[in-house]
Amino acid sequence: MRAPGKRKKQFKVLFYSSMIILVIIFLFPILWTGLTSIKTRVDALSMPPVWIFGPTLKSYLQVFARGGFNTAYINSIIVGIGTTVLTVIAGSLAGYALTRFRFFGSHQMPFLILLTRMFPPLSLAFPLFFMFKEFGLLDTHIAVIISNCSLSLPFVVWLMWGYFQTLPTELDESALIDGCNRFQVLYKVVLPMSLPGLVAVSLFTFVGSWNAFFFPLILTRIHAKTLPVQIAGFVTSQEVLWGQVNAAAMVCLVPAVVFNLLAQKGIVKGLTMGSIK
Amino acid sequence: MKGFRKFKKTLLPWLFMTPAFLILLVVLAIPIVWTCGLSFYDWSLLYTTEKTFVGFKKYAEILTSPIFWKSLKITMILTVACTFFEFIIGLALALLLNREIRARNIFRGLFLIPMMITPIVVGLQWRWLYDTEYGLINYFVGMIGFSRPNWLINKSWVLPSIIIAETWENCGYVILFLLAGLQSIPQSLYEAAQLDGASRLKRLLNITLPLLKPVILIVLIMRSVVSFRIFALIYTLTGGGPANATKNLAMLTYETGFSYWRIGQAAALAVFMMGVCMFMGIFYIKFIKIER
Repeated sequence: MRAPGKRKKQFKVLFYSSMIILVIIFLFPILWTGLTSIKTRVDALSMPPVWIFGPTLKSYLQVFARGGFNTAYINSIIVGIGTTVLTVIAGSLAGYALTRFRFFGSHQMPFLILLTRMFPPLSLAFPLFFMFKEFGLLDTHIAVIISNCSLSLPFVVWLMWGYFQTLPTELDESALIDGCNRFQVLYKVVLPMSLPGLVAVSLFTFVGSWNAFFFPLILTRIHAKTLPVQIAGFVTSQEVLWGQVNAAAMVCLVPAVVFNLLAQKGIVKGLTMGSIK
Repeated sequence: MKGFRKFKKTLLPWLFMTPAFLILLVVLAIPIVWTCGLSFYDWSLLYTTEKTFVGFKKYAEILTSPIFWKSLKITMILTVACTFFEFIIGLALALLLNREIRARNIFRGLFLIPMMITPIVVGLQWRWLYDTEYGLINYFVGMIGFSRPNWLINKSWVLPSIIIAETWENCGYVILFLLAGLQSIPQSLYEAAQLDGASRLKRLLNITLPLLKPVILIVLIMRSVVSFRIFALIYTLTGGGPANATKNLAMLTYETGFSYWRIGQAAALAVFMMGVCMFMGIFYIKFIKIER
C-alpha cells in the first residue's frame, strides 16, 4: 500500500516543479525587463548576460529625470481617472436602465453595444482628429479622455448590465415604495450594493485607459502625451538606452498588472462576455 | 395629468441612457458615418486642401494598388497564425490549469499577466529580447550553436517574431475563456465516462471539446478580430518594416492617414477594416446569444 502513495507523491513533486518551471519560462520576458532595469549600463549590455550583479536604481532615476516623463506619468493618471469617472457614471446609468426598464431596443442594445467593441480604433481616428482640431482640443486631456470612452464605455455598460442583473429587483421596489425616485434608488440602494463590482470595473477601466496607445498617439503632441506614447518615443532615436527603456517599461507595467489582478475576480464573468453561465 | 405621468414613464429610461448615448454618439456614431463620408473624397492635406467628391474612386485605387494586397496578405497571415497559436497554447494551459491542483488561482493569475501589460511595453520587451547583439534570445540561439538571426530585420524572421510576441501577450484571453467554460462542465459526465473505461484522450475528444464548442467559437472570433487589427505591437517592434514586410492593414491605414495625410484613401482603408471586423462581429454576437 505504501508504494502507490510514494509514487503519487513523486508525481506531485514532478508536476509542481514542472509547473513552476513553465511559469518562469512564460514570464521570462517580464523578469528579464525587471533585471535589465536594475543593471548598470555595462552589465545590461554584457554578453554573455550577467545573472548576478550589484543592483542599481540609476536607470529609474534617469528615466524620471528625462524631460517630459513626469508630465506623461501625471497625464496618464489624469486621463485614466477622467475616463474612469465618465464611463462609470454613464455606464452605471445605462446599465441600470437596461436591466430595470423595458423600452424600445432594451433587449438588443447590450449586444449592439458589445458589437461596437469590434470597431478598429483606426476607423474612428480621422473624424476624432478633425473634430478635436476644430474645437482646438488637440493635445489636451479632454480629447484623450473622450476618445478613450469609445473603447471603454461600451464595455462598462456591458459589465454593469451583467452586474445589475444579479441584484434582486425587490430591493428597488421597496425603496420606491419608501418614496425614493429612480435616481435615488440607483445611488442610494443599488450602487452601494454593487460596490465590489464598481471597484473592479473602475480599476479595469483605469488600466484600459492607462494602456491605451492609439488615441493618445494621434491626438497628443507635447502637453497631454501619455506614458505609452512617451515610452514608445524612447526607441525611435538612434541609440537605444536599454536600461532606461526597461525601467520605463517597469514603471508602466507594474500598475497595470497590479490593478488588473485586483480587478480580475470581480469581472471574470463580464470579461468572458457572460459566455459561461 | 395622467398623460404627463405616462410620458414621464416612457421618458425615464431614456433619461438614464442619455449620457451614454451622447458619448457614444460623439465618439462612435458620428465618426463612423464621417469616416464613410471621407472615403468618397479626394482629400490630401499635404498637397491640396480642396476636397473633391470622387465617389468610389478611392476604393478602386486601393483595390488596384499592390501595397494593399501585400498588406492584406500580411494581415491574413498574422490573423490566422496568432489566433491559431493563441488557441492551441491557451487550450493546453487551460486544460492544465483545470486539473485539481493546489494554488490554481495563483497559477492562473500568473499566466494571465502578459495580457494585462501595456501593449507598447510588450513590444519594447520583445524588441530587447530579439536584439541581434545584446538580446537574450540570440544568446541562447548562439549557445546551441546556430547562427544568430536578425529577428526584426530579416524578412523571413520578422513575421514569426511578431506572431511569437503577440501570441505570448494574448493567449491569456483564451485561457480565461476556456477555463471558465471547462469549469462549467459537470464533473459527473467525466465520472460516468471513466466508469465506461474511456481514456483521457477520448474524454477530451468526446466530452470536453464538444461541450466547449460554443465558447471556442466565441474566443476564436474575438481573437481573430483583435489579431486582424494589431497596431501597438508592430508599431514598437518594427514600425511596419523591413521593406513593408510587417505593414498590416492597421499600419498601412495609419501611415496613409497620419504620415502621408491622404485622408480619402486612408478613410477607404479604414472602412474596409471596419467592414471586415463588423462581419466577424455579427457572428460573434450570434454565438454569444446562443450561449446565453
